[in-house]
Amino acid sequence: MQATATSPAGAGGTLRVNGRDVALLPDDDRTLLEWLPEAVGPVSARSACDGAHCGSCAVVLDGTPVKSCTVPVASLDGAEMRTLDAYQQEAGALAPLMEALAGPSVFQCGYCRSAFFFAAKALLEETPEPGRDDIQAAFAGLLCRCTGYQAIVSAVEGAARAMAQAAHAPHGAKPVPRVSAHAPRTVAAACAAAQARPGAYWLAGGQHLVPLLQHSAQAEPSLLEIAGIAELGRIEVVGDRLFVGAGCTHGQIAASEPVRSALPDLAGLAGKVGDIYVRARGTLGGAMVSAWRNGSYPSFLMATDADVLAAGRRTFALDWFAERAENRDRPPAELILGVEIPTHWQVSHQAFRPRPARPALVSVTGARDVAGDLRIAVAGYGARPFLVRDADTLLAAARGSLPDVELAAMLDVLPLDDGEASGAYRLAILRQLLQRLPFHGA
Amino acid sequence: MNASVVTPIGAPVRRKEDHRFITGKGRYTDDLSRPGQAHAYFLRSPYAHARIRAIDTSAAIDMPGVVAVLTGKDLAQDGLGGLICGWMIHSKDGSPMNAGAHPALALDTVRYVGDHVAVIIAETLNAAKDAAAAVVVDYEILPAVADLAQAQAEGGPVIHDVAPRNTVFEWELGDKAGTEAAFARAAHVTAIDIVNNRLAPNPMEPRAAIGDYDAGDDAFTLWTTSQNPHVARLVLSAFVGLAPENKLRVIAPDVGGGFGSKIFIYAEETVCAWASKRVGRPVKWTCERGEAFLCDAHGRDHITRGELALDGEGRILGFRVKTTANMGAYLSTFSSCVPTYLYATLLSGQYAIPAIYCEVDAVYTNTAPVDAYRGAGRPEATFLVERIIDKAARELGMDPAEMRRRNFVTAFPHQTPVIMCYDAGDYGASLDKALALADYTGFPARKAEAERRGRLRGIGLSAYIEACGIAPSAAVGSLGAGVGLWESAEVRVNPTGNVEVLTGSHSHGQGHETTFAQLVSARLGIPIDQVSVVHGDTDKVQFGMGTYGSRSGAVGMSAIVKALDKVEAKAKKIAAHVLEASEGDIEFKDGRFTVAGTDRGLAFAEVALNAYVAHKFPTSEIEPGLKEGAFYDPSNFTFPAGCHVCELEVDPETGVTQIVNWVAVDDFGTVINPMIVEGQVHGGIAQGVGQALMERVAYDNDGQLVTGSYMDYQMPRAEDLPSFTLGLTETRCPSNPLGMKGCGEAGAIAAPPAVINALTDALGTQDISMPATPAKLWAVAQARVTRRAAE
Ligand code: FES
Repeated sequence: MQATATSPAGAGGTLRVNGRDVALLPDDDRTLLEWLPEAVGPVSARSACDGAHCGSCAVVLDGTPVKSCTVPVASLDGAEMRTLDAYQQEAGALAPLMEALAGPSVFQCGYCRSAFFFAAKALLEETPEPGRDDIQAAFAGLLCRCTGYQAIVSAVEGAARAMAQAAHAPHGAKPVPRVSAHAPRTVAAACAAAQARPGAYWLAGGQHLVPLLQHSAQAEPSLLEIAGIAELGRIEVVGDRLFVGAGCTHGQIAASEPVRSALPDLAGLAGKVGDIYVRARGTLGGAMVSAWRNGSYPSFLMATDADVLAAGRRTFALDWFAERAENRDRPPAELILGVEIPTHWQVSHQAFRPRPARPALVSVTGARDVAGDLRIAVAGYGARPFLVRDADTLLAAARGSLPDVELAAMLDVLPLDDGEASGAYRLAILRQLLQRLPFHGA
Repeated sequence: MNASVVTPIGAPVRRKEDHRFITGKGRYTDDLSRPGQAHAYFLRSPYAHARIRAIDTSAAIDMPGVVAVLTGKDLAQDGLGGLICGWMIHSKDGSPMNAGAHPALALDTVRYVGDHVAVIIAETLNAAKDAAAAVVVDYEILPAVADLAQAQAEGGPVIHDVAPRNTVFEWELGDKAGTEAAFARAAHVTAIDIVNNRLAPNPMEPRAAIGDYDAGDDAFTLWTTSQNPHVARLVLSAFVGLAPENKLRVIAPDVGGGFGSKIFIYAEETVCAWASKRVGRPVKWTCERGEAFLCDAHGRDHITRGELALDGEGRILGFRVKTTANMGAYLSTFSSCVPTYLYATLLSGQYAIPAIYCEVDAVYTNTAPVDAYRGAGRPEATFLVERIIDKAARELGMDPAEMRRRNFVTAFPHQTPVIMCYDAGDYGASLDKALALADYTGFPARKAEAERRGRLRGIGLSAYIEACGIAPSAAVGSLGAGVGLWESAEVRVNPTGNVEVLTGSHSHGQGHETTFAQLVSARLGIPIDQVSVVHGDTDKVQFGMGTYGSRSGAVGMSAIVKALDKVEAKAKKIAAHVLEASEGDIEFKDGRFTVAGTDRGLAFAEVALNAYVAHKFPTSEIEPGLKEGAFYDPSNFTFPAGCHVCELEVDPETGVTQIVNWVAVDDFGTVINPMIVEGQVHGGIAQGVGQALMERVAYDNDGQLVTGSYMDYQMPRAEDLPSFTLGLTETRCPSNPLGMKGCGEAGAIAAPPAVINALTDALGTQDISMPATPAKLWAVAQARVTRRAAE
């Protein structure tokens, strides 16, 4: 990308790469992946896809695994990153993993190694004794065309055993998110910066900005870094409501004790967003903006009657997503602060995810309060997520022998019919998901 | 495994290249930079078919950082020819194929979305991209045809004037009259219609090239992602006319997977090499994934009707096949042999079929060129044979395993009616072993148990055969090949006894550096770390044919064996002189030359040193030095074969397939390194499962590519694949010294019919096409429910 005056943190600075400080250029609008070979020469992070689909460009950034094609380099002043090359020099506690992955015929052409090394590293930090399924799930957003994956999965299994036996598993302290010196620290400062730059995109985890980061002849997007705003990273229970900051990563939400005890299905769905790289960096706010149609958060927030808090206003999730659908082609002007979810519900979230690491094709959330009132929200079925009108009747109908066409009529929402799935198929899946909700009909 | 010990054949040696890769020190083409290099970006056609009225490059030239903007006119001005298809196919009527011109940069017409219109060379890639947007092309949009089924229609769009009805050739193989006669006396005929879905090869390393012209030597160097650098040099020299071979060096460094797609000579590397002279600077290009989807040669894409004539006992009497093969908009390097000699010659499968007749129409469409992709023609043949025999078994109420067994070839050599002569195999043995490993007899109980859980369980067999070890040169020459398909090797013993092996094969993930070194280590009795394998550089290595068609073991290693024979023979002569014994008394074993019946002897390294100091033998009789080369031309194809069993469950409510068990029993002849073979089989099955369940390249009616990114083109991920149970049976290949058959493509060939046969078993209908996506299978399952209700 060409340099523009509107890049974040345009003042340059330094980035520590494999133990060496490297100067950043002012106003650099390249991604970390584009920048690396030009700044430091060839490294083992390599380009192989058209944006966040494969992991061959993975590195570890301030302790967090990232696909380097998803990170604007200008936001990295003061950061520290390492490529696979550095771990070969000095693997430390990860030596068994490094050794296992170097085993006979674990890889073939070797091009994809970084993807699997860093995903395995992140997995073993979270789950020291993973099963085969856990390992396969951790590889959800990665591609290897040579191996069929089995040898890699087996190698990680072996490494996990070896590392679990070692006295200290590599549980470092959780990395502290780092932000560039120039980024705003308060909501007020961020909003002021946004006023000065209409049309700018908020940059938190950056996961949904990937297509924008790729060079095109169009004007480069203007980015406003918000990762430094502490308030956005808060999770807390206040009375019978749970606040989750928009800057929380999916990984943080999945692991959060307050979330797990108040709304376990929210933790569960966060733990299934994207892949291990996306969960380490992608945020709730980012997902609300990008996966507004078929992501799992919209149905959850709508069914639980959550509020969306933005700078200066509070909106019902229902209305907020309706607005989002109207303005889908524009970046959100307002800064989302977080969501506030009533916790008095018994909630069940059901999603059908036929492709690893991709948003659910259809997802359903049911929420019932002590009085027995039931709310059901659906995403991925129609052109936008919606709240079901008469949840109890619909649930009973979905479980009964009512023909599909009549069920569709009850829903009164036209199903999407696109390259991914037909309307009839979406309806059948929706019916399945409704049947899985653990509520008894009225 | 310790690298300093001698490594026997059959040992699971750690791969030599693994260390380099794990340290991140693998060097792929895109990792390289040349001093002063400029970057190339290709302006591509946004239309599937259009006439170029004019190209105005003047604004682009003036953009910042732009070095040059070049078009097809510039190429033609410099006298460069177009890209070629190296295999001549003749139609039934004897006429040669209708090959349209294939300029590296379009002259007056573009024929598919992504076709090359101009190259912009600039200081940075982004400057080149910005300038590309400023090139003004005046297109006259022409009607396009992207759908193979429509392409031969009278009065439709004509893509190349030389090819009426877009037909490249109408080819046939086999005995038409004999086949008709077989059908006339058949008790039962099974017919099947098949679409073999179009695939994108997708090696994870995208293609890349750096052209570098040295004015001092008037010579070019081209670094490129190639599976066969010598063939690239030959084509660029002899046909494109870039430079004579002695003035063109092609280097293929570490290559990150190929699967066929890096065999071909494409526009981009041709242009980078040529342009480096034109602009006087090295020119680098790296493919983006989106460009790879548009322009890397695709694979498969057949429409086929097959008919099988059977007697009353389920014995095959005859097989009749009519295939239409999509060639895309141009004939890529080896495209014409794929749906012909690599396809129809395997239609006998593992079966004794008295009469076969096959017709193939090759057809142009306004889509990317189609060429060899892992298996190339053989997966298409196997899919047809293994689907139709399964369908026949169901129609006759026979067990599919029994149906196969009844028709197996059991006596060797076996001459099929379609050219191939199978030399060795034991198909019954691999079937039996596979059925045992898969607990075939226990399947009905598992199916019933699944039914209780609401799952539809199915089991599917695939008894595949492939022709590898490509190929006897005279044979392929008589069939139209423009090249011979032998392989070369040179074994250089250095004075201190370590060895360099120069091979014409090329490794892009197959682990040749290990397997080849293992062979030399075992043969010469020297530690494996004293053997280096050199490949992929036309200046270092003698002419060789490269790696594809599972040929590097059977052909490439046979050449090494031949060279090793010569090294040993000469070393024995030298040892005889040094030991003052007669040559006939010298024995070579475990790295020592000894005089038979005595304890007098010399280590291999001592003989090597003696060869170079040349003090102790008459140089009038024996030349100094110890370095031997060999060219090995195979006397036959090799015929790896085996049986895969896929067991799966379908959730009828969602259409989601879960593969619950996979058994692969393969006969690859002699296995040098079992771990490398396992890796090849796993990777092949993964690609085959991808074809069966999720992969497909799709164009819309205007010829726009619908599946142009990983968003829309779905490749198997870790969770999509099961663990594999592998078994081997072994019949030695009699035609090469090591008895090897090849293993690189087996999985990709065997897997698709195993999956689809299992699905037809689960769902009780033959009407299942690839890719069998959840949405498709859900519809099939719903229809099944309706059908049952009606019954
Ligand atoms: S080893 Fe080649 S892509 Fe993974």
